[in-house]
Amino acid sequence: MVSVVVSLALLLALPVWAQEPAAIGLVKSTSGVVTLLRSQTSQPATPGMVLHEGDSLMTGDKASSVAVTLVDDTRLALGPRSRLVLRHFSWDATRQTGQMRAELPAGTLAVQSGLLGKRERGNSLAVTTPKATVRVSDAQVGIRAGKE
Amino acid sequence: MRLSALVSLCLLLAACATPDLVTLVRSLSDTPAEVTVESASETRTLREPLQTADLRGTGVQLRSSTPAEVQAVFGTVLEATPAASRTYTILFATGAQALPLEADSTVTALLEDVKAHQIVEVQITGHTDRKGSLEANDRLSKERAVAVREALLLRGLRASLIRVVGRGERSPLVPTADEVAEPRNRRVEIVVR
Repeated sequence: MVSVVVSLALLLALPVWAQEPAAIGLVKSTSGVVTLLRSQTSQPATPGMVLHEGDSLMTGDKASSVAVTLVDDTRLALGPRSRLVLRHFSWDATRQTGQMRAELPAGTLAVQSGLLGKRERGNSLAVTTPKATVRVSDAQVGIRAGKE
Repeated sequence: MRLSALVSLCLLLAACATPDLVTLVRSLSDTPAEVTVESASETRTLREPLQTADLRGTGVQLRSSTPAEVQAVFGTVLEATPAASRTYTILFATGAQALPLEADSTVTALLEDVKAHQIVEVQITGHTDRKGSLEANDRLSKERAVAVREALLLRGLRASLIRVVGRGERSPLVPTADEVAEPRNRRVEIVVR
């Protein structure tokens, strides 16, 4: 009985071990001080780094910025003294459906919509700031948050 | 007295005078842009380039920005935004999953592009025409994409991220009725991002 429970537990656990977190994008370039926060640990963000759902990016002073491409072709650039949380990102590349929810607690962000931000996919691409939720379709936008 | 001093100081500082804002910088492609800004009390929609939503208190106020203002506020991030991706296409024979010989020059151009950009993601998407079942075409499109990946790896592709996807007959380049063989739809598109 115990062994049955143990094997069952192993069976259930195995897929979790085997599963790599899905790559949702790539750090394309950085300048100045850029930090990647992933499951409570922080490390310098460097070009080529693969991003996962839940990751946060933080930038330092004046000259700092980071550019990111996401797998649906959304392109982002985060300015100095900013923080961006990639809260939720799902993308089914075969069916081309999914959703992105990012948070910008403070700073400046440029968003160039990709496939998720196509009009026919509704409000699939959203960035939330302390004051508003911004939904982007077929546009490049600039968002500044945390000023007051 | 002290409060009024603080208020005047605040008025002098740009940070206090400039609210949170959202600017529609430009629309992409031919589809009209649409950006909705939803605050605690209202929702407004931006449709034109340079339209800006100011977020004061709980409200949203629309106005139009000058290019100089957009440059001052967002110049850094607009400049840092990654360049547009490039797409390469390889066509396949009916039912075939092997790369045709003519693909060679496309592969060479693609590899040069990747080499020139260092940090890239290569997304390989297989497609079929509408001959055959949806399921069989999903499989075939994936096999075509995998064949392209193998060919690129053999030719020395080194990318930060390589993704392979089969879209079956869902995204025809040339729309046709079902069961029509259309050469231009039997393709693998490789996006270098």
